[in-house]
Amino acid sequence: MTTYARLARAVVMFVAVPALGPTFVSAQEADPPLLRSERDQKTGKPVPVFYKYDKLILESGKTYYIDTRRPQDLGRPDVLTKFKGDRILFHVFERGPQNPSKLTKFVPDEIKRIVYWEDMIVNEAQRLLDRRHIESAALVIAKLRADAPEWRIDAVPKLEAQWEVARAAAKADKGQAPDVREEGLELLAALAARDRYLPGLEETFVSVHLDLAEAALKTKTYRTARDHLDTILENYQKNDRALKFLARLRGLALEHVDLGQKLEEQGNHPAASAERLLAYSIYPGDDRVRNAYLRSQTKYQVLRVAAYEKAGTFEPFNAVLPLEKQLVALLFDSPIEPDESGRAFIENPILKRYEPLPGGTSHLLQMSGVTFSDGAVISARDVAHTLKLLQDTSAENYCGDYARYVQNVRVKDANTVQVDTAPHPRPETLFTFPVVPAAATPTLPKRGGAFSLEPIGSGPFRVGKASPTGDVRLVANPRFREADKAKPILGEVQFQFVVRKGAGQAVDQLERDQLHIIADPSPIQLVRLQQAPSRFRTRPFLSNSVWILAFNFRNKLFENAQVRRAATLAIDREVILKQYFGLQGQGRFTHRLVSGPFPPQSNAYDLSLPERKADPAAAKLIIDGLKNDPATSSLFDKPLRLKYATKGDLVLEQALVQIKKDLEAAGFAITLEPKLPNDFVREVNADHDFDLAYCEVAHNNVLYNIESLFDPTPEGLGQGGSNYSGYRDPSLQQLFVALRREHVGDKIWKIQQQVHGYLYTQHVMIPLWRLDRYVAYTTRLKGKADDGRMIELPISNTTLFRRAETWTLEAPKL
Amino acid sequence: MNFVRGLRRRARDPRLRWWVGFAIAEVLRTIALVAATAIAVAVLVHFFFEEGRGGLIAGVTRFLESAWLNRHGVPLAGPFGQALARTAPMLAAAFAITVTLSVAAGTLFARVPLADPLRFALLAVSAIPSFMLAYLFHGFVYSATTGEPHVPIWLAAGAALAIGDLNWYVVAGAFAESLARESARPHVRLLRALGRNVWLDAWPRSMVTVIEATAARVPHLLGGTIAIEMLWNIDGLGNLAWDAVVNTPPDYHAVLWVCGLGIIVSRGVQILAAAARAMLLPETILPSSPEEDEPPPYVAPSSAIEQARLEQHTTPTQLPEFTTEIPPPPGRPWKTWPGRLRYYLRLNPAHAVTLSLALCCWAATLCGLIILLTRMPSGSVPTVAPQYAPPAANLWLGADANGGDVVVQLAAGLKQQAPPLGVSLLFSLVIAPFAAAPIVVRLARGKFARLIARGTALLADGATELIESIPKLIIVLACVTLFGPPYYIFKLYLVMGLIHAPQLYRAVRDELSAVGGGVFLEGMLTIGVPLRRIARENLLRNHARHIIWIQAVLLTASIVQLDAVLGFVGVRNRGEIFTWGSMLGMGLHEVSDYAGVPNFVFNPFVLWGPLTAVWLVTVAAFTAAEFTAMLAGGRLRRAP
Repeated sequence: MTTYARLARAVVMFVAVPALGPTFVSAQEADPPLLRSERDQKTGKPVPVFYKYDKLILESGKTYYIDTRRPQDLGRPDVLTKFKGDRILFHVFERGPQNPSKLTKFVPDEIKRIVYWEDMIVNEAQRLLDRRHIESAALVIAKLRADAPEWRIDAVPKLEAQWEVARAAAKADKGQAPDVREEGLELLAALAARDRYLPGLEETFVSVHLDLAEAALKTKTYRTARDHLDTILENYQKNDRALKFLARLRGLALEHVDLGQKLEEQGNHPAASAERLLAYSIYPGDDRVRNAYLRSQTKYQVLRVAAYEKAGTFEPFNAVLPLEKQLVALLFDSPIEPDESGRAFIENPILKRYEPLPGGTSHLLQMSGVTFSDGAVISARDVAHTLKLLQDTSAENYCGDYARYVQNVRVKDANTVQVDTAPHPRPETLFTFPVVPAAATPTLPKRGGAFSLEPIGSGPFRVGKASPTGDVRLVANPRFREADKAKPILGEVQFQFVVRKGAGQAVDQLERDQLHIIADPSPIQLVRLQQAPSRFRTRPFLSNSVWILAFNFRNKLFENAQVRRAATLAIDREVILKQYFGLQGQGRFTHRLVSGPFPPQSNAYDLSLPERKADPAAAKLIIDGLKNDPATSSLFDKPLRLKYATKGDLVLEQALVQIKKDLEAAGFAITLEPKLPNDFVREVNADHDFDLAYCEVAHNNVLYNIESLFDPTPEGLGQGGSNYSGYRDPSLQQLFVALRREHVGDKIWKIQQQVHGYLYTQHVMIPLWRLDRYVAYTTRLKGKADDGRMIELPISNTTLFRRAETWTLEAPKL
Repeated sequence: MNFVRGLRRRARDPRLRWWVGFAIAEVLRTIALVAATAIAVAVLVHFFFEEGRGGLIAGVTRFLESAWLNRHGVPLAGPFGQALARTAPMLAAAFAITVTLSVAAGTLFARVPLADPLRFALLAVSAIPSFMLAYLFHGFVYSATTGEPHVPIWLAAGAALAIGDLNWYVVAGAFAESLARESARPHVRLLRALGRNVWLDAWPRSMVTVIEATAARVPHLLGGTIAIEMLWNIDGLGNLAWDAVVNTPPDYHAVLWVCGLGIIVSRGVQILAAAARAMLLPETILPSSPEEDEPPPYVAPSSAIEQARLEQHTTPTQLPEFTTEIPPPPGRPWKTWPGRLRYYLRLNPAHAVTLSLALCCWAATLCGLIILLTRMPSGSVPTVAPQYAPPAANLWLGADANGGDVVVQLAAGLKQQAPPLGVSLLFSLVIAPFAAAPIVVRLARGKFARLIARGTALLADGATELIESIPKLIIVLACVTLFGPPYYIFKLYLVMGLIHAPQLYRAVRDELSAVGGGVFLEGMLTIGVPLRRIARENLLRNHARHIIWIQAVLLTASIVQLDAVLGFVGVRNRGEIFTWGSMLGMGLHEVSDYAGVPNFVFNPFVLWGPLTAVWLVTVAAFTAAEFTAMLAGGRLRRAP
């Protein structure tokens, strides 16, 4: 017997066994009382065999242990076979110092139960392992293997495995020196690699690594914590504790993402980036965390856009101000959108499929599963609900086309909706509406309402907290469909309020790089910017409206077509357009004269009708003739009031003064009456109190229908009616009736051109010009293609904020 | 019990009772003013802009119920608070700078007779409209390269508001006059004769006048912010009010809030002034009691030195030279004016310099007027040159945007605005007699007459307070939306006259109230002098005339400047209206947009021409008013 074996025995008998008491054997209580026996080679009879330290429990309840102190036992340390006849004789000792050893004999039947020392030693080994007495356990197990290798074939290997696990765990304990801990972790890893289902290994493995991860979390070494967690999950993917810890890490990371978002909305971009970075280091596995991290990796870009008004709503149904409409384009997606030319239409990624069904009046829209900024998926119900809201006449931005053309909307499944429409020449235009979530808009949103101020959309941006100066801020939508590609690239779009539109303030700020985009600069400012093409780009937006000089037919003077003709001939529109709006030809302007109420780029415009040239002499001749005619001379007694809306537009004022001069040169008496926009709307559009008015005919529908301007009904002609000029004529009405009945595109345009021709020949109004809008932006502002190339800004002729997610601001050149 | 007794005793203290009554009355007054304004705005909106739809009561109730929301349905408190946060520092700075500069200048004028010509310099600077000063400051305030401001914008704007629009000059003048008046009080003279320092006694009392004068300028300051905010791109209260009126749909609630703020600020400063007056002048709290009239008990001098000093100073001392001569008595101007002029020149050697400067100014103004009269167009201003043509031999100040000669335009402006201005002044002068109501209350015989007079005085005071508290530009803008041809300028100027009339009313009332309690009036009535004669000669000729004249000039300047602000913010009619104010505002607009643009010919005289005209006429009229007052005897009698 080796020294170790002896030591193990001593431990077992004098330390472990007395200490544990009866519970020590409890593990074997289910075993039947049995005797191990061997056949005696001589007699052939079975001979009971006992091993040292076995425990015998008699029927009487008495418990005996084999006395190892008997000298005769020492000679046969392994097997003790004592018998005499059918009686068993052996030395026993009773526990306790007071019980002297004595030779006891009893028949085998008296034995109720035998607890073999192997069991005891297994339990002892187990106990030692539990108590991390690794060395002692090793001795015990070694003894077991040495003394009873054949006993319970799996017990020893199991114990050995447990010992190995315990040893590794002890070494890997967080209290150990780093090198020892490392050794322990390697041991654990080796064990797991050998057999990850070794008894106790999973629990130990997980505990050790989680303890270390927890410690790392406390010291904020998130990477280490994550490594430990990863190690666990590599081996035990379904471990509950590990998964809980993972969820905890994810929650912690998302907390930091949210905090970063808040900081970003407050304008503290460095802190926001730091939070996102931290979130990523804690848990990079979540999409939101990763997207936020990608954003923080790119330089936080803030695009500053000049705003000349204050937005009151951010949702599409009541957006009437130009700024409000611009914001809608950034916050929402529409199923179909115009392409760069503004003429063709393409499907937006929120749409998986758009399919016009045979017949052309049914359209199938299948959504692609893109989410809103609140995480909800855009469903067919959302599309149907949006269409329903668009048909609500109480919306400020109500467009009659939806009520007129959209007849039936059927939700076929969660992602598919079928829209039945009346025949429409361009049915795609009916699907260029922004989609809003149905859950958030049970009724039509109102100005000042919660959805109005903080809408939920699927666009690249969402409304952020207003800047300290009160400017509108849009921040990147973290759930944007391309957020995993770090889009939108711009971190934020700020609409910086500029008090005066068209003045030098905005241009000065653009030149100083305090603004990046300005809209509607005055002609002089536009020229100023065009003179620095390396720094600024200017882009025209073909206006969809034309300016006219409206006659008020309630004034009897204008019932005379000759008077109207004379007025038309008197104004030298070409010179005025060039001189004032075109700044004497100094800049590159796309404004142009018109011959009717439609913009020249529309199909409704009859290009065969030339813009009339001014003929002051002819105009004067006509007026002089009428003045000399007693029947009409009295009509010229009162000066004509020419009203126009202005907030101090210098160019407009100059142009109107010139118009006045031209008309006066022809013989009219004109009083210019500039009006504040509010007053103009009230006096001209509502009260119809004017003689001549400088009006804009804005076309908000694709058909360019101007029927309402000539509404002959009492409502149309009366107070607040849309027919402010008061013109009515049956032949014109017939054209409008025909237009209403016609659904075939080409025929519609034919009728519209007839309307154009009628207004042209009858001089129902003085068509003046189309004034295009301009934007100027820094050349640093570029688009970024999917392959990473920098391209020109992908704005179209009609939409400024087109594909704004690809916009990026290049670093300024030194 | 002792505590309760103590409270009762304190409650009987007349001083405490006065303060409690004062606080309650002022708070109620402010609330009443705000309520009156709210109802007035609601009624006006109902009738003029909603065409009386739904009945008056329902309309007014609807308006007032939703008065906390703006046009977008969002609570107004947020945007209003943000705007206020930007404008309040400007106003506070303007207030502080006005007081500081005025006290400094006023002290100088009151204490250093030789500094008198500097009054002229002060007038010359202060007669520039505040938004023009802001434009002139632009180069100093903003960096030319980065565009960032060197000094805080609120400070620069506050300085422009404080100095321009005659604010500095008016308040400094009030302080100087008040200081002189306080210095002339008998007890102050006695103290001076005793060699004591009277500064601490006279100065705080004079400060009350400064605060009161500044309080009267608050509506001007509020109005001036619109133009400065527009010029310097500040999104403040002025812009909020402007945006509320101009943009669609109109936001009358925001207008009401701005008016309410104007009332509260005006009332706040006035309450401050009243409180200061009560603290510094106890007689406003406590009526004189018999005990106060008794001579103080004799206290023996503490030492022989003090005794000697007292004896030395109680002997008659040599008074300053200028007080030895008695100014000529009242009489016909051609008889009395030369003598008064001589007396004025002998009072202070520096007066000769002041008179010379004034004569130069008048000569320049006269020359200018003659030139304009010779160039006055019969009809509309013809186009004679290309757009913005620079000055030439036959085009002294160049051409404007439509090729019209700027000089001819100024002449047309003179022709256009002189009659309405006159009517406007006359209109405000009609208001002035109401200022005599408090005196009539005292002099009127019979209960009915006294009741009528008291009612008139109360009504006039209330209306004055209401009109004075509301920012003037807001009232004008509200009227602009209603006015149209014909007689547009007449109507507009009439409104301007109306909103400035309280200023004249208050000045006359203050002057007459000082006289109203005079013993001589009682005496004259007792000896049988008719009330009509007392009013004509003693009140109007001897006391109110020069005040009315000065205020009329001030009024003219204020109206022209208000017109200029309107022109600058865009309420103008190019080619139709050529008032100097409108041309000035339009010129500034053009200069700020067009000047300095490469390859663009621009004529800066579209700004400098009208500015010179406005400035010169203001300075000339003001100096004329001052000298007229002197010739009428007002200034001479006030000399300490």
